[in-house]
Amino acid sequence: MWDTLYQAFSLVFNLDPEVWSIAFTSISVSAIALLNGVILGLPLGAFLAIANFPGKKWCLTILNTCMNVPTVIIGVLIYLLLSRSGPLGDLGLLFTKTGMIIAQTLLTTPIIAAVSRQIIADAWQSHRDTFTSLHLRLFHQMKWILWDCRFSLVIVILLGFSRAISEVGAVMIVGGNIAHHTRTLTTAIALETSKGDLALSLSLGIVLLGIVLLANIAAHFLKSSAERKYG
Amino acid sequence: MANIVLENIHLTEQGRPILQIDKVTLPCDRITAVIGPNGAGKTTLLKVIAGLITAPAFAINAPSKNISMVLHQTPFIKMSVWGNLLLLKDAIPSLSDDQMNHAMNVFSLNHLKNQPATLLSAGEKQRLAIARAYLMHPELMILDEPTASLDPNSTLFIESKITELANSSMRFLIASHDFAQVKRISDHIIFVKNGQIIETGPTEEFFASPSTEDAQEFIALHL
Repeated sequence: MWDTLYQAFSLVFNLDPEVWSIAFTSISVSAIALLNGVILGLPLGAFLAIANFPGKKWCLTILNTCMNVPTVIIGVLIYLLLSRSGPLGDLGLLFTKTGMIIAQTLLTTPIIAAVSRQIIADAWQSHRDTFTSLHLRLFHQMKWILWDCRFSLVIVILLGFSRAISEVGAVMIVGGNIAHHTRTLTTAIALETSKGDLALSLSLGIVLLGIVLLANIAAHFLKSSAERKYG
Repeated sequence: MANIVLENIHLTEQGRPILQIDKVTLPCDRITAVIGPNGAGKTTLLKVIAGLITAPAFAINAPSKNISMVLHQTPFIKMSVWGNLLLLKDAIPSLSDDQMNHAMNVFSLNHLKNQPATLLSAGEKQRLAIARAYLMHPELMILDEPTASLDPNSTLFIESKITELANSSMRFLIASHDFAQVKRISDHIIFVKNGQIIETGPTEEFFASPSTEDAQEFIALHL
């Protein structure tokens, strides 16, 4: 076991090209999916927190359900859409990074929208009367409430990133785990473990943990410095 | 004298009546104070007039639709004092930096321009809230306990600004627990109790000879 651990750390710190290529794929795919999730999820969360419309409760139930859908189901759905005989088959996106980004976007958007909605709804309780009194329109109300909650929403974004980067099922199905192309940290860990290459598997795990740890430290630093500045 | 006419305002919370008005005409000229015991419905009344609480049955006829309300404790966005004024540009695109600087000047906020609004003192926050409402140039400004928990200097500063603006044609509707303040600045009184408008009238007249038993009791308790 110690030998395996030693080899794993050697692979990481000797900057093994395979390990870092896989890490780069993981980070780039997850980062773009996260960006999409933020662009779609935060305004959706703000809208659902602020706006009143018939059927809002149903929308919230659907959103919460989407947040809990098993990732393999998303993977299968995207696979069906992107497969050659599927409606989007002509785009040739199956087993590509773009296909993986689509799958991860569908995973991150509901979680970002649902959790941000809760945070924004709490803040909205105190801001509603003031914003109404200032005659701000819905779009501007959404804009300013999002801005007010920006430091709390860092945690939501972190949650979305964790969801994206730690995902296995959907990216395995949609990406195909193709070496040097669509292989991510999680799919590579699953593959290398099944092949018995525990050192490589563990080294990939160390990188994955390192990325998540760094993201958490950055989020914590940002949030605490904001709290010091704004109380 | 300008009036506000309210009709069909019936609000309850968990069966308890909050505001029960069939039809009433309220004075709304220069500075009008809304007084009454805690839980009487003063804030709810102000919010109904400001349009913050609405219902299809409500009929409100105010001298102007251009109304701005400052809450008892205004929450601010986590950004600077200037930033909190800047958000008004979304509501009033023609608002200029000069007008904002002028409002900062009127309410002595210049030295706080870059300070986080959330960390201001209670008095400074209230000045910022009123400055922001002032920038909307409302014909009627509604203030919910504008000087509660402020020190005497801050209270006098805000009172002087209210009087100054009232003299330049802006109307005020102010909820207050401070009898001395009400006597100092208001021209008319609206007395509220148990969600009902019990009595209205000129300030001096109200305090000298209240016409209802409820008002007499309330004044006796507070003097």
